[in-house]
Order: sequence, then C-alpha cells, then structure tokens
Amino acid sequence: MLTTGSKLLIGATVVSVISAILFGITVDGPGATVGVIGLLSAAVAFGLIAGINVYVRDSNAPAMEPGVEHTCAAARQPSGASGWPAVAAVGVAGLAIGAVSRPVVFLVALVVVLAAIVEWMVQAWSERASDDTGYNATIRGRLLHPLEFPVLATLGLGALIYGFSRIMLSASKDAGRWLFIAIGALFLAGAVVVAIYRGAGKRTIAGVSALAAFAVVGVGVASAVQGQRDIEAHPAPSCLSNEEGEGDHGAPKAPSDTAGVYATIVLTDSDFYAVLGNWNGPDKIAYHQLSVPRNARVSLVFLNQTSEPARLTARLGKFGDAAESVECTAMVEADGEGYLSIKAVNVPLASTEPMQLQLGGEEAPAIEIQVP
Amino acid sequence: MLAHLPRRRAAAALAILGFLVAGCAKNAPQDIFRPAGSNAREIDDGLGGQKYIFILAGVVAAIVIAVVLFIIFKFKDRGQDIPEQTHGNPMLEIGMTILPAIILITVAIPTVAKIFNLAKSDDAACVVNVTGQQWWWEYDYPVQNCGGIEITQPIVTSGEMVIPAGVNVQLRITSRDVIHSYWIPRLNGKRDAVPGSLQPLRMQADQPGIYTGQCTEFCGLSHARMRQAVVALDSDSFATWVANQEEAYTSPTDALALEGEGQFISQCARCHQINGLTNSDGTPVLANPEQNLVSGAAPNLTNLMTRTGFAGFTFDLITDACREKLWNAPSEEFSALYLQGVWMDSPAGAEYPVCFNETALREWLRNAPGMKPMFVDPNNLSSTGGLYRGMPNLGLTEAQIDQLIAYLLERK
Amino acid sequence: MAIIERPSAVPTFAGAGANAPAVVTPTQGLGVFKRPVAASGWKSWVFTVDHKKLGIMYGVVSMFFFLVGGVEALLIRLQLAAPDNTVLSAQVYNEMFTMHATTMVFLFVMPMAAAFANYFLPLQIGARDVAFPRINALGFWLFLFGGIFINTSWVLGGAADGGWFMYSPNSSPLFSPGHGVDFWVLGLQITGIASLVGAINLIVTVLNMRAPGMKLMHMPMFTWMVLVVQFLLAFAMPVITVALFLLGFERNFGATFFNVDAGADPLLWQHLFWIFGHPEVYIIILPSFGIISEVLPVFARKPLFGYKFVVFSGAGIGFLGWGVWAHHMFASGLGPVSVAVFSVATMLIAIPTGVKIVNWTLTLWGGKLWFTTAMKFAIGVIVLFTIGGVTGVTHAVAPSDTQQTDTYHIVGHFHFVIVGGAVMGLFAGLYYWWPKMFGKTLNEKLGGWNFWLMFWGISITFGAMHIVGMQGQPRRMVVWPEKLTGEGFFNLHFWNQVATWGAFTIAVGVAFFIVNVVVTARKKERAPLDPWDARTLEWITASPPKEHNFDVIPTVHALDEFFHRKYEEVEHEDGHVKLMKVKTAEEILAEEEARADAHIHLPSPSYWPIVLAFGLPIIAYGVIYNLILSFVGAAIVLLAGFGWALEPSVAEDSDYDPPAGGDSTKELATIG
Repeated sequence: MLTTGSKLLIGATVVSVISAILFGITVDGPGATVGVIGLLSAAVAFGLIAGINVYVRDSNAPAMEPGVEHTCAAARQPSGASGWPAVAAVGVAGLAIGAVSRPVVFLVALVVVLAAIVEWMVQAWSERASDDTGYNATIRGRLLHPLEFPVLATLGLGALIYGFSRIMLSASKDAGRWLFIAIGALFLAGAVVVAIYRGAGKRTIAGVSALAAFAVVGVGVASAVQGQRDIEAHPAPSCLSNEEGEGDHGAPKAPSDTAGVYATIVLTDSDFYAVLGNWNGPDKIAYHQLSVPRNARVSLVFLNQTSEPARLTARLGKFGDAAESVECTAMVEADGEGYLSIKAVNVPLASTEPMQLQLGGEEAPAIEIQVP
Repeated sequence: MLAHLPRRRAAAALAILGFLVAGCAKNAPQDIFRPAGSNAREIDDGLGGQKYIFILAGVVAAIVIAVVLFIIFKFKDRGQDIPEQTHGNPMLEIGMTILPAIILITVAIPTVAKIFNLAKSDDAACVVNVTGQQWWWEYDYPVQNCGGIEITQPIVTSGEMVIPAGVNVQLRITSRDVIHSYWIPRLNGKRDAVPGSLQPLRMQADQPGIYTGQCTEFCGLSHARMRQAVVALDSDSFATWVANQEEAYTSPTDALALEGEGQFISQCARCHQINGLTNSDGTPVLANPEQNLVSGAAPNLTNLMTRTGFAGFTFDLITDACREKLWNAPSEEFSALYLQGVWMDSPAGAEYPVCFNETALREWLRNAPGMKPMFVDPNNLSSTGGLYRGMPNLGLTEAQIDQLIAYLLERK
Repeated sequence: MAIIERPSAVPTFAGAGANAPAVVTPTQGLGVFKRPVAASGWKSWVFTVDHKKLGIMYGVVSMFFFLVGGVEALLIRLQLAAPDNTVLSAQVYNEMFTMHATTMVFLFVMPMAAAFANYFLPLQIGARDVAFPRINALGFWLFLFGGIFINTSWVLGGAADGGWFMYSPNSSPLFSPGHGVDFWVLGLQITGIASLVGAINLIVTVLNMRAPGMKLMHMPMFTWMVLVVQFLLAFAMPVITVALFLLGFERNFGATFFNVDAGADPLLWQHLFWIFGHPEVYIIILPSFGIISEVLPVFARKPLFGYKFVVFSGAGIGFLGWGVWAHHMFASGLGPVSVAVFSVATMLIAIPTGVKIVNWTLTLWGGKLWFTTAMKFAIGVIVLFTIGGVTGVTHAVAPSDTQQTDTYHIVGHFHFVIVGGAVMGLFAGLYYWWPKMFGKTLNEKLGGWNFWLMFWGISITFGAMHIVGMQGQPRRMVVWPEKLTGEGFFNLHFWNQVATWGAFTIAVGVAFFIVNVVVTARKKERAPLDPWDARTLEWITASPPKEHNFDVIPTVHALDEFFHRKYEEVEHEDGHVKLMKVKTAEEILAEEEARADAHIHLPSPSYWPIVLAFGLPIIAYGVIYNLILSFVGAAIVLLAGFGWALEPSVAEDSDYDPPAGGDSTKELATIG
C-alpha cells in the first residue's frame, strides 16, 4: 500500500511528465527544449525521491516491520547529531539570496536544499529502522552511498582539476612546463614511497594526500585571483603562424628534412629568396618567385639569418573592390626561424594588389607568389 | 586423409604455378613486378628487394607446408601407442627462434638502406608539384630548368604528368581536400597526398612511354575513377611539349568554335581556367572554382587536346584503337606519337582528328555525373554550403555541345 | 534449477546487560527489487548472468553477424567479378566494404572469441563463474545492442561509407554528410564498452579465481592466449574510444581535431586508429592460436611442444604488437627514419609468430594423429596462417610494401591471416567443444565437407587476390576498367572471377556448417562424456556442464590435469613402461559427484544489465536525431545503475520452492 507521502510524490512525478508533454506540444520557440528538459528533469528527480520514499514507507519503521515499535528501543533513543538541518537552512537562505541576485546562486542553493532533504529523510528513517546502530548505518550507506560517492568524488576531483588548471593557466609557459614535470615526478615519487613502505598507516597516506590536494586547490584559488597569463588570439583562418614565438624551435635547418614544408624562405644580409622543400636538387635554386598551388594549404619556414629581427608578410591578394586584402605575418627574432601556413585562393591576375612574400614595409624586398 | 593427399599436392603445385604465371609476362599495365625506372628497380631488386623477399616467403611457406604434409602422412593414427608425453626441447626451440632472426637480419639491413635511398632528393633534376583532389590530380611545374629544358612560366596540367625520360623528377605531393595516394606501379611505390603537408616522391622512367596508375587511398565516391599516368618523353619531345604549353592563347577563327568560346565563358569558365582567354572587352576571364567547388580547383583546360585522357584520366580522349597503338608503341616511336595526341594517324591538313574520341567527351558534356559518380546533386548541397564536389550536369543542348567540342578541339 | 547459498543465519547481538533492551535486526534483503530467479523460458536467458549461457548467446549472435558480413562480402565479389560491373552503385559499394569489415571484425571475430572465452575460460581454470557476472551480462547486451544499432543505419539513410579505417578528413561531415559515419562511431563506442568491461572481467577472473594448485604456468593455452588478448583490449580500446570521441565531436559539435585549416593534422587520426588497429589484429588472431593450441595436442595425443615458449611468444606478440602500428602508414609520408624503425620492428614480430608455427608443427611430430574435423581445421590454420604470415613479412619491408599496400595483395594477405587463421581456428573450436556445450557431437562427414570447401575456398579466393594485387589492382574500387586487364588468359579479369568463385565456395562451406548444426540438433544420440580423450579441466564436467560447473572445485597438480587423472604409466609384463588409461571420464565425474560441495555459491540473475545496455543506443540515437532522446537514454542508464547498486546481493530463499528435504540447500527449485 502506498503511503500518503509517496502518493504526493508520485502525483508530482505524473504531473511533471504530463506538463512536460503538454509544454512540448504547446510551446514553440527557443525556450521549448529547455522547458521540456527542465520538466523531464523534475520528473526524474521526483521519481527518484518517490522511489526512495516508497522504499522507506514515509520513514515509517512500523510499516516495514510490524511490531517493531514494541520490540525495539529506537524510538526511545535520542536522535544522533545531524548537520543536515543546518545545511538545509543555509540552502534556504541561498535560495532567498539567489532569487534576488543571480540565478546561478539560486540553482546551487536548490541543489543543496534537495540534497539536504534527501539525506535528512534517509538518515531520520535509518536511525529508526532498528535498534541495531550498525545495521542502521549499513542500510543508510547502502541507500545513499551509490549517490554520495560519485557526487563527492566528482566535486572533489573537479575542485582538484579546476585548481590545477588555474595554476597552469596563470603560470608562464616555461614555468608551466617545469611545474607539470615537477608535479608528475612528485606524484610518482609519492606512489613509489607508498609502494615501498607498505607499513605506512592509512591515516598517514590519507593525511598527506589530503594535504597535497588542499595545497593544489589553495594555490589554484590564489592563481585564479591573480588571473591568467595573456593567451594569444587565434590566427586568421587563411593563415596560421607562430607569431607569438610558438612553433617549432627545434625544427631541422635543412627544409627538405622536414616532410611537409613547402618552401623555406631565407633572409640573409645580402639576399632574400625561397628554397623549395623536399628537394635537395643539385642546383638548389634560390628562387625569387614561388609557385604555390591554388587553394591548397602549404606551410613555409622562415629562416632569419641576419642579426636583426624580421617580419615576413605574405600578401595573398585582394579580390574584388570590397574584399579585404589577405595578409598574414610572422615575426622572427634574429638568427631564428618561424612558421607560416598560407593558402592562396585565387590567381594573381584576379588580384588588384600584387601577391608576394615581403619583408616589413611596402618598399622592402619581395618574392613574387605565382599561382598557376 | 590419405585419399586427399595427391589431390592436395597437385593443387598446391597448381597454386604455386599460378603465382609464377602471374608473376611473369602478361603485360598488365600496373604490374608491380615490371619496374620501368630506377626507383621501382630499387624496390624490386637485391636483398631486401621485392623479388627476393617474395621468393624467401615462398620458400618458407613451402617448407612449412611440406613438413605438415609429411607429418600428416607419417604420424597418422595407425594404432600405435600413445606417444611419450614430451614437453619440448629448449635447445631446438631456441635454435628455431634464432634462425628466423638471422634470416630477417639479412633482409632488414638492405631494407633500411633502400628506405634511405628512396628518400634522397639531391639527385633530382626537376620538380613537379602534384595536388590531389576529388577525383583528379593536378600537376604544376614551377619555373625552373627541368632536366636541361627551361620552363619560363609555370605550367599547369592534369591527369597525365609529362616528364623527360631518364631524369629523376622530384614530386611534391599534397591534397586540397581528403587524403589521396599517388601511385605509378612501374615507376615507384605509393605516396599519400595529405592536406596541409607536402610529401616527396621520386619518379624516373628509363624509356619514353606511358605508365598508368590509380589513386590508392580511399577518397570517397569516385575513388575507383581517380586515375593518373606518367608520360615520359625524350628530351626533344619534352622541350616541344613545354614550348606548346607555354604558347600564348589564340582565339578561334572558325565560326562554330567562336560560338563555343562564348559557351565556354558562360558555362565552363566559372570553374575551368583557360589561360589567356578574354572577354569581348579584353578583360581576362578568370575562373572562381573556390566559389563553386569544395576542393577549390578544377582542371585547367588551356591545352586539353594535348592530353590523352580526361576527367581524372578515367576516360580516353583518343579512341580505343589509338590508345592501344600509343600504349604499345615502341619507346623510340612513343614520344612523337604522344605529341600528335588526338591528331595521331590524321593526314596533314586534316580538318578533324581521326583519333579523337568524340563519343566520350560528348557524353561527358551531356551528363558528367552519369559517367562518373560525383557529389553534385544541386538539391543536396546543404552539407557543403552549396559547393560541388565534382562536375554537375550542366543541361547543355546538343547545339551547345557541338560548339564546345569545336572550341575545345582547338585547345592544343 | 538454480542452486544458491542460503543466506547466513540471522545474526543476533546479545545485549550487554540483562536490562538492556533486546536488539533486533530486520532480516529482509536490502534493496528495492527482487532478483529474477527463472530457471527456464526466455527469462532464464535474458536475465542470466551464467557465463555459459552468455557464451552461447555471444556465439549465436556473432554467427548471425558472420552471415550478414558474409552476404556483404559476396555482394562485393559479385560486383568485382566483371569489369565496369553495375551490381552495386559506387555509394552502396563503399558502404558495403565499410560494413563488411566492421561487421566481421567487431561483430563476428571479436565476439566469437568472447563466446569461447566466456564459456570455457572459467571451466578451464576450475571456476564456477567469472569474477563479475553481471558485468559479463552487460558486456553481451552492449555488444548485441551496439551491433543492431550500427546495422540500423542501412535502413536509416545509408551505412558508413568511409572504410573501416575511417580516415579523416574523408569521414568529416563535409565529405560524408549522411548519418552513416555517426552510426558507426557511436555503435563502435557501445561495442567498445562491451569489450572493455569484458576484458577487465576476464583478467580479474584469471588472476583471482583459478582452482587450487593451478599456477599460471599450469593454465591451458587457450586461457593464456585469452588473458593476453584481454590485456591488449584493456589498453587498445581506450585509444579507439578517444579517437572515436574526437571524430564524433568533429561530426556533431563542430570540433576541428583533424581540420588542416584550423592548424590540425589529419595524420593524428591515422596514428590513433592504428595504435588501436594493430593490437586489434592480435586481439583477433590470438584466441584462435589458443584454440588450436588446445586442439592439436588432444588429437596428437601429446602435450603442446614447448608450452613455455608458446606462452612467452604469445605475450611477446602482445608487447611487440604495440610498436608496429605505423607499418600501416608506410605510404603516409612519415619520413625515412620512422619508416625504417617501424619496418624493422615489424620484422621482429615475425619471430614470436614463427615460434608458434614451429611449436605446433613439433607438437604434431611423433604424435598419434586423429584427423577429426576439429583437427583438420587446426592443421588448416597452420597452413593458411603460414601463407598469410610470410606475405606479411614481405609487407614489413617498407619499400616493397609501398608497392603492395592498398592493393588486393594486402587484401589477400590479411584475409589469409584473419579467415585462414582466426576464423578457421574458431571453427576448430566449434567442432572441438560442441559436444561439451550441447552434449552432441557435430557430424564428422558434413564437417569434412565444411572444412574442405572452406579450406580450398579460402586458398582460391585470397590466393587469387594476391595475384590481382600484383597485377596492380588497388582495393576499395567499385569498378576496375577493362583496359587495364592485361593480356593473356591469366589476366586481371580471370583472377577476379576466380576470387569470386572462391568466395562462393567458402559460402557453401559455411552453409554445410549450418546444415550440420541443424542435423546434429535433430539427432537423438548423445555424445560420450569425453569424445576426444581430452586433456584439460573443462572435460571433467558433465556435458553440457551443470549450472555450477563443478560439483567440487578440482585441485590441480599438473598441466593437462584431466589427462593425468586418466592416464598413468603402467609397467608391462615385459618390463617396459607404457602409458595406460586407468580411469574413464565417467569414473572421474562420478568420483567428483560423490564428494560434491554442500554449499555452492552462485550469483543470482539480474534485471539490470540488459536495462542499462538498452539505455546506451537510445543515447546514441539521441545524439544523431534529437538530444532530448539522449536525456531519456541517460535517465534509463542512471536508473538502471541505481537498480544495479541497490538490488539484493542474492535472491532470497522465499523466492524459491522449499528444499526437497533434509538440511541441504543444494536443491532449491525455483518458483515459476
């Protein structure tokens, strides 16, 4: 037989499902999907609570075990200490604050309140299930652990990962690299220590782990407050380059050793020329014009062999009066190398500006781009 | 079991014979055991070469099969006692581990040498960019001295790549859309065309001739109809070919062909470029394939009639009989025949080329996707944002086709 | 009839003092629902967690997919029988070869190996079930639903058309706009979960549940090879899972993992796919190696030659298999250094594989060979796998491989390995273990037809493909043109026709197997308990085995325990020692039954594995059609998870009829 509370909750489930269907049929427009999902979620939540409630018979121990109220002393025992009323109170306060401030606060508070209600209900029921406290704890754990463990684990891991990500985002790129290595090494060392000293108490290990976790989260919070380092913007779609000093520092010097490089653009004190990639021909020609297949993405390596930083600009033409002229650039320090990936969409004849690889300004030396 | 034995032996012998028969003779145009250039020979010859390891593999397989057959015959249950329950013989086993290791070392060392030989690029006297897209290959020749012949302006062609015979040509392969693979079995192994990356491949043909191949990386709907060929010409003929490719455009004089030029500008020039073609006001006609095609490229038709195949070298521009003649021509006659192309066998001053396969070209202009499946249904282009993958059916009238063919016949 | 352990007596906690109130603990089971207890009818199959029933279901379903994949293969061969043929359109042909490979690899060979592993691994190590029986059931249902899900794409707008290797960018929505690839990605994710949970389950089973006395080096070879395969699966499936997620996100949520214009590299997919794909080859072949390592010693009446060598070479293949993936990419342009390294590594793997061939051959040497159908199939594996293996070595040589890769030569090579090696081995297993599974021996005469037709069919079909490839015909081509056939009688045309005829020969061979199954099922005669004079523990049980497998868990003293219980060395009158049969299988089984365990614990069936598995394809349909459906599927998965966690650990006594009598809890008959 269903208890009163269960009927109420089952009713709520049914109403949510029906309203979801009605909402789905009647409401159109951008909010429809969100509404249906919301109502379905409510139905699932009500259904879950209803199920628990049916199982615990409205937390009515006698209903589960007739006569138990006479044989057990549970009713006479004082209830154990419980933090859930306090949590629920905080949650309700959060609801009020959220209602007048930001929706996200309201949502979080709602989750807290719902969690507190479920926990509170199950705890209250389990404490009166029998007078065997061990059994009561088991039955509570059996019901709630499948819910608690994944949620707590997700929250805990989430905090760790979030903290770690903040650290990595605020550290400079070089520091981040070393940090990553250091943390990984520390982790490995810790694991080795645990594996070797099997005698180490569980408490010690748990304590150290917890300390480390708190440290990560703490530093993460500090880093979040400090803010991220500058993250470079994404390059324009028709060219990709290592503008920010990214890319292949260790790239081989001979372009033909690098599969995939279309041409190497070399700047020396006296000359500015292109060498075709993948070709170490007998007369490795220093081209002053470069033939690039139309509409295919090709990559260029820019070798700056002078003692000054230089900027390579690929002018990829201007098509039509309204069109923007397509340009991409790579800045390369003295005696360094850079990377540029270009795509010539149309032939030079169609462009109102010359298509060329150029150094810096308009008057600087240039390599003509030919698109057959 | 015994009854099966002779049958089995006979069949095994037959199978081995079959392999041998398949290996030699027979003139299949893409036979991997008929190298016609230094790179394919590098793959084929010596320890670590194709021939050696095939024979080695055959011998090992034959030994194992022979031993198994012997065992089947010798140790059949004839009521003998249950054999001794031996668990092995470590020395024998170690020996049988080391033996294949030694055999493999004899293969491994020359293999590594061959890998590096085939990756060399410092002896290549010419460079050609090869770009794959659904479902044809484009070749462009940068300005250079190609094996002694000066190329003074970039040449672009498609389907068949013309190279000088005896010269090691460096291909630089890439793709505009999906991954393809360039393979001319008689000249070298395969190399994938990967978008965004440039892959090297050496090509050298000893003798003038045509060496066909096929795209070998699955590339979608018409993968089977993405073919290619390398045409090797002797040095003089190659120079002639280059000069012909660089010749300036001349407008047709024939009335029908002149109408065809108009048709081309209105129907074809959206995607297909013909270098030097101008509008009536003298402005150049520029194709905009990037606005119509996913790959952003369509074959350049400036010198269509110098080729022997079209639509990804899938269909012949020359008739079957002429193709047979060309493909089987002795190497010393090949270059001249190839340069004649569709005009092969035609008497001097003839109006119409004898070898021209008009049927195929006409059918193609009538309904291209009917001949070669392509992604060109105008009602079903939402996934590509309205861009085609291949040539759509243009719905040309027979009169328009007549004009276009007359015009294209002069693109030589 | 289910046999369960009666729940232990109600614990009573004596009060500390006389005036303390009596402590009462409720006795009822914990959890929301009861567990199913049906011992017959469809419920006994659908809710079962019995490894033997699951094994049979795996077998039946994968045999069905074998036929599906076979029909796809025949259609492909029909299309290629003549130049410029029009049996299939280009689009349908592309879908056909994609699904042929996908079906055969993921829905036939892998689950068929799982069928044998499920059924015989616990029996071979003397266990009563696997370590996680409900997970085992989940694995099966995921495989079934995943397989059905992928194949529904045929009627929902066309199957995947990118080839089973699904190279990017050809698999991106721009180049494959239909939903076929989405079905493929999501379906493989689902079957991937099945493989992964199955792998963990079997690893734990082997490591923890061996009978007393069974050291790792006393395990039957099939168990060993299955163990190696499960480790390969446990490490390989995550890789393909990641790859499929990347592809799925690219297709459904606009990610750009393989998009060149966003600075990515399409080769990333190839590396991910083949880091999974090459171990996958060994996942496919090693179970078959295990099976024939069981079959050959039994019918040669000799132990496996060099047991330790075979174990270590199997494990060696498992390790080396991770270092050779790029030999699938010799033409991809990796650069000479990588190519050289992978070329040599690939040659290395030929060594442990060669060790196996040598050991099998030497197992037969000096034996007393009995040519049953199972034995014929096993010897067939040696011959055909050797041919496939040596052509494999020719592909390890990278320069040579650049001529052969992506031609029919490769197709011929790996079909020799997979059909001639793996599939023939699985058939050997079917003929060998059929009497154990169903209590009836398959007809040997029909088996002979089955074997010879398949053997010659395989040799002809894939032999011809080798030649077709050498003549330069690439794979995955819907048509091959007349002008490339070459001259002479033995031209491309001829060999393509031969391959097609061979394919139909294989089909007829498989038809003989099906006829054999029907004929065997109809015949009344039961198989003897030990029809093959076998050597390993599974033959100590009844045929088919009782639900709890062993009346008493056997204690193991030696490799080939069963053989050593049957045979002893007896001194003859003339003084020389001779191996004699001292006990029959019936006598050994009777002994075991006589001292049967009083309390046997077996897992109870469960409703939840099938429910949970059912939620996943619904999520997948939702991803393709409407995300709301995904929420429904997720709710099903969530609720099934809770049902799973909360259901009672065993069915209650009250769910069963009362015991027939006495104190024994063994004979609890089920209600309904």
